Amino acid sequence: MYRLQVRKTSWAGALGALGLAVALSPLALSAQTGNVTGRVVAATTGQPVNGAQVSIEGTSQGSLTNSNGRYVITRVPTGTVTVQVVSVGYATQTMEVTVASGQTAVADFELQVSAVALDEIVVTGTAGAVERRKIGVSLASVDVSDITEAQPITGFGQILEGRVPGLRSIGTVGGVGTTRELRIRGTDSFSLGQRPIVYIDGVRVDGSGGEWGGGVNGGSTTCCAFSGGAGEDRLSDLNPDEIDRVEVIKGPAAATLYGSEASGGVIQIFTKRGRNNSPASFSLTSTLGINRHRENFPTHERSRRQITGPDGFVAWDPNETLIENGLINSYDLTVDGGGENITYFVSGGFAYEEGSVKPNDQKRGNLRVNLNWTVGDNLTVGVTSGYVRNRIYSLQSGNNWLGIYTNALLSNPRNATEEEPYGGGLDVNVEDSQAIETFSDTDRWTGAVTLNYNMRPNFTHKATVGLDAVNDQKTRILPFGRYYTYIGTNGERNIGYRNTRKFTADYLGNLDYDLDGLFGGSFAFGGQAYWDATSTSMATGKDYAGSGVTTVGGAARTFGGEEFFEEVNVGAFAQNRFDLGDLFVTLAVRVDGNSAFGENYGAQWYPKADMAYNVPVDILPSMFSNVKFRAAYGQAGKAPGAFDQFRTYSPNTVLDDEAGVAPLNPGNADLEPENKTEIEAGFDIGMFNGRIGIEATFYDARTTNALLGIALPPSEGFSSAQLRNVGEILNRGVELSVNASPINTAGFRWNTGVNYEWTKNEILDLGETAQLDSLPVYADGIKTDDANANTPIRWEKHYRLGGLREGYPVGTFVSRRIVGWDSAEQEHVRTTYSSYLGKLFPDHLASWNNDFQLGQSLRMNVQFRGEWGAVMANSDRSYGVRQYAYDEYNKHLDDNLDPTPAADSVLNYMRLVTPADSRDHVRLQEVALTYTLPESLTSRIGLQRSSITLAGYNLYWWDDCNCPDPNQQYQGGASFSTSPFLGLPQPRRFLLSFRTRF
Amino acid sequence: MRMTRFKLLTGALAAVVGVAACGDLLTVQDPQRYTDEDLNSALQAVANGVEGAVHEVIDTWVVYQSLLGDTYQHTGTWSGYDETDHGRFQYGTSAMDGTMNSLLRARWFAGSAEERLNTQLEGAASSSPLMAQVHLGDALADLYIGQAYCEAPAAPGGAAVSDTEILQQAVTKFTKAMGTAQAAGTDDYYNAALAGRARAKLLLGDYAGAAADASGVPDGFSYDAKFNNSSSNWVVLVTTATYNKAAGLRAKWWDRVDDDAGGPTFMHDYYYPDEYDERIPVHFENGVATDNITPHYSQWKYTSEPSDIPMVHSDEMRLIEAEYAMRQGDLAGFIGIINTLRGNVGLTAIPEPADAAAAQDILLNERFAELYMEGQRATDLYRFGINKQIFEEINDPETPASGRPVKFPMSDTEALNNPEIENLLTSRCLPVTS
Repeated sequence: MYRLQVRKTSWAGALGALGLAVALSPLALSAQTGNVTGRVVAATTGQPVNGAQVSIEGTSQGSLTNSNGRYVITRVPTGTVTVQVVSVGYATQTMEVTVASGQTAVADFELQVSAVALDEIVVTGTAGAVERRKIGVSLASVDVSDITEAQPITGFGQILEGRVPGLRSIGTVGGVGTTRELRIRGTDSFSLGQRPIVYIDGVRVDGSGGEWGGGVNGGSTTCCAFSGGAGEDRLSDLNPDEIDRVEVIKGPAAATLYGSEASGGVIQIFTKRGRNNSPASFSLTSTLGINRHRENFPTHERSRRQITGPDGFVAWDPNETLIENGLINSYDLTVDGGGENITYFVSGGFAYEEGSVKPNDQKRGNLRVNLNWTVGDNLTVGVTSGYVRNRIYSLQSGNNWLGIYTNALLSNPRNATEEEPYGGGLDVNVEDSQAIETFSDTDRWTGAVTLNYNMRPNFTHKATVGLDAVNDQKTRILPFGRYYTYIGTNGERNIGYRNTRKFTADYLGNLDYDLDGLFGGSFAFGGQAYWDATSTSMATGKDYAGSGVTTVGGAARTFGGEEFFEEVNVGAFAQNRFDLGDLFVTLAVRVDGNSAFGENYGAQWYPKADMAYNVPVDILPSMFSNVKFRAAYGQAGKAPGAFDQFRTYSPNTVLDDEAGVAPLNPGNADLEPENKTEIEAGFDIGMFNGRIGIEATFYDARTTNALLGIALPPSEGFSSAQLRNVGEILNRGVELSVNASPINTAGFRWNTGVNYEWTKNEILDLGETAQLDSLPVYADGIKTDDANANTPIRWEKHYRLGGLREGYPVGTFVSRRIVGWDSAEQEHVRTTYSSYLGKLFPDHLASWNNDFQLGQSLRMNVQFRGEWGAVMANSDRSYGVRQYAYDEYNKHLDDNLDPTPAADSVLNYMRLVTPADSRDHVRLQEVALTYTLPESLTSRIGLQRSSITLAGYNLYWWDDCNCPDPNQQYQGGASFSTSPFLGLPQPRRFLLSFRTRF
Repeated sequence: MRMTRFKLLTGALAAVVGVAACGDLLTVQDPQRYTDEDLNSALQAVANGVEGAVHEVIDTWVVYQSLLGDTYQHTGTWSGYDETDHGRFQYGTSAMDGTMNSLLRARWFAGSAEERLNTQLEGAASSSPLMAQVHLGDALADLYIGQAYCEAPAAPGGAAVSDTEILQQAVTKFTKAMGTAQAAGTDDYYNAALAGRARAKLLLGDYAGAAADASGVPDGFSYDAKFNNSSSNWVVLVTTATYNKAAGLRAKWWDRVDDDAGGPTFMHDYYYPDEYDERIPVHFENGVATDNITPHYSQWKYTSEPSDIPMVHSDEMRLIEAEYAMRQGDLAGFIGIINTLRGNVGLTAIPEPADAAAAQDILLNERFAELYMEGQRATDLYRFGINKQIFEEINDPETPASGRPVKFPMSDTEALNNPEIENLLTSRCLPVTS
């Protein structure tokens, strides 16, 4: 009873404060108004600053500068007002101007470069727009407009590469359009997806990356891994030229308000908008280039030694014959502008890209229309609509017998013939492999309507409804008359449809208040509903009578399959930020209900608290321009799979095509979401007038209730493990970002930044069913023939569940290894027991970004990035040697191309183990040189700011992996697999781009 | 007006929270799986599921048994095949774990199905063909476990017992299945159970009992593991000339295949090399296997994905009868049965062997031919105790004769997750050659 009274009192107090704040809020705006206009340029170079946020302090009025740095703000109240300019990379400036009724006041700004951005407005995870100085969490913002200004970036994933500490965005598979690794702050689950959730303009979207189809009911008969395991990346649907900026929140401390799917972080993409009172401004970008692999496939011996097949045919070396130039060609046209009440941004783009290994290409067309309508002083309506058609001709590679890359690399050159020029054995010749046609044909629409209603200047409401609809149609044709392993010569066709609908409804109310004499702050409340539904259907036709018919129905045997997933999440939250002078304290709570929670489980509550303290400038030593300390605590979750809670039996076809069933999932009505609790602390420091900015963050995130598949003894029936919330995972790390402007003169400017992250990933608890186990430790560097080579020097005890071990990371490579040479048996000594050989994900990542500007015309960007700490279970290496295909074996052949003892030794080694190779490397990721054409030249033909860029990506890497690429991973963005397994490495990219405005 | 707006907003917030609490909105259904309740109206599918679950793994069972014995050798890239062929696997690293898991699951499902049938059919259950189907599946699962693995739990979640106890349990279950099949009037299930019991007794050393059961199985009867286009025959998929070529006939058999076969042919008879033995279809066209170097001599008994695999059949029963005669010293009777089988495929009769050793050779050769690619050869080497001798004759340094496993260990998955089984390597079995 007492507790209830307290609660009632608290609610009453809160409501009272709310009412008081409303009562104290300013009166409606005066009808007497004028305009403010001006130009914003960089102080040292005089270059216009595009996209700077210009606002009238104390009001919600503002505008963005255009490409010439110009802005106009209309309906500004008369009298003296303060104009504020905020732009990433520059120090915030304010200026007082006097606005007369019906007149236009001028306020021009010259911004000083600054490596700190505490005045930047951010919105993701903050329950409304707020200056960065007021939030207690680490939140990254990437100015995509600025990047695309200087670099011809054609893919979304590349935008994030090496730019956000804590976020690992890397290319892993080389085919165009294929999925990428995207992960934030380590691995936080044993079974649930590791990709952060993705929003576009407030709408949750399909950010999946990976192959689909193989698991559809009907099993392997309905299809396949269409292209070998990588699949397409739905984030590759996005056109970087449409994107204004991206905000990234990295964990529960910041993502609490996103609830039950957000523990792996949130990426929010903001598309571009038009500008009020701005004439139509066109932008045209045209890019031409090539993809081309490094010639570092491990098959050089074929050509170097002229290895021949039985008929004297010299085997082809894939370095010389497989690698080609893949054309890249893209065009983007945008127009933005606006009048008094309506702004618009319209863009259209077309991109064509070929892979370096063919057949493989992507054709993508994007169309976007974003409108904003100011209905009245208090109401604006925003409409965003983006459509993409993305057609990817996928490369056959990876875990795929039919892949051309597999065929070329794993063939024995000593079996080479004219029909099988790389070598025989795999039974699919080159022409047949290249004749396979695999398409992903996607139509996608993402759109939203957003209402912003300012009931009062300090009491705002925002409602968004949106939908992301993805229709992906995949086809694969293995033509009649050509021979394919498993299939023969009668041909096969596979088709699949995947329809995904993600519906978002979001409401946010925000009340800014100022309790005179006490404190100010902002109270926010709201709710979200998400409905995700995905249906997948597949059909396969096998055995055609001849060529000419390629529909599934035209085959002698046809198969079908279908799957459906549905998940509903409804949540609500309340948050209050207390503004206590230089101290900002935020408290929040969210509650979620989710259809995937177990029947016996109710709602999930997620609390949050953060604090930001900005040390007063007047007490700081002069070398510091600002110092902010921050700390945060928060929880967020990750819901189980849509139907994991149900006890189910799968239908199957048994005996003579009769209906059967088999026990599948034991189910668990008590399933809860995984709950991740994060503590984060750090500081943001600006030094030497903002010339150096340092951002450091420590975090400690623990996933409790982690879902673990508790395998039942097979003798108890069900084939799936039973999911239970019993695990615990630690991700602890440090993120450091140092940005500086060492040189900033009118003639030369150098901005540089280093990002570094360290992540410790450790399994803390595997639940009660884990069993005590031990791993042996063998001595390193032991001499061959040592009798004790196979004797562990000690055993390390731990609890183990399946392949997971307490005290070790989630991804480990545990295997037997070679510890010596038995000269009597002439073979290597393999350990009796498997031992720990390393972690599969890196624990150190770093990048070094440089932006040089020479005079008014020349700009160069250079990025290096590196990863350390991971090992690769190098199955390709052992596979290639066992197939007599790789240099590591062939270089030891004698002059007659017969095996030598050294060759036999290598072969024996690779037959016994899969080697553990280091993935440590440093990569020259980006070099872009931009030349801005003189205005005197471009203006003659009616053009405004125009530039030409020559760029190269993924240019070179230094590694010791005994593989083509240390980031190689055939399943691309898979959450847990890191196997290289014949995944095509990433190619180098060389681009020439022309960008102009008119 | 101000308060009205505030009330509206408060109401909207309350509505959101209320919606969050709304159970129906958060209720979803899985349209692609059956629930327990669904199965009560799908009893035929349940019974099919039990029988089919055993059938589906027989192909894999055959492949690994062939690699463990001397029928097959590894010619591809898969470590599971490699380790089995070379006898390198240990407890916890056997690639046969998955097959045992499937058989154990099939056995559990049989128990669950029996319970469901009793509940749904009540008094009619004991004479239902569905129950006969379920009981047969249950017994077959035990037979195939006991034949290939050295130990297993006898009951769901139970303690591990020896292969002998599993086979004894199989005998009991086959007897039960025969009774149900007789009551249900399903002759095929009855004969399959009888033949299964005959083999179980043979493996237990009850040769008289085995022969007695075998004699009750009529000529021409065969109970096959049925495959269809959905449950493909893995033997075909991964070891056959037109598929993956991950394994092929061991080199010791190559000289019985024509070098210039150029495709499908038959192995030559062991005793009369001029004659082809139709029981041993092979395929050779002078190509190399997946490992890029080994000539691939392919089995050709199963040539398409839906090819069925015989599990028990009358010819095997005749061989059991022949073996019993041999063990009784009735070599004339023994060779009579053998020659009848040979005559069925047009092979010349073999003279009566002079002694028991010669008779054993004949029996083994005829069993190899008659039961070719049915997974029985490894069991024959084991029960006659000749694994070491056979692999010494093969004389391949990569396939040492000593220390070679002769049966598979219990599934590691079962041992690790079954609380009744101690996770202690030293307490587990893995019989090897001396």
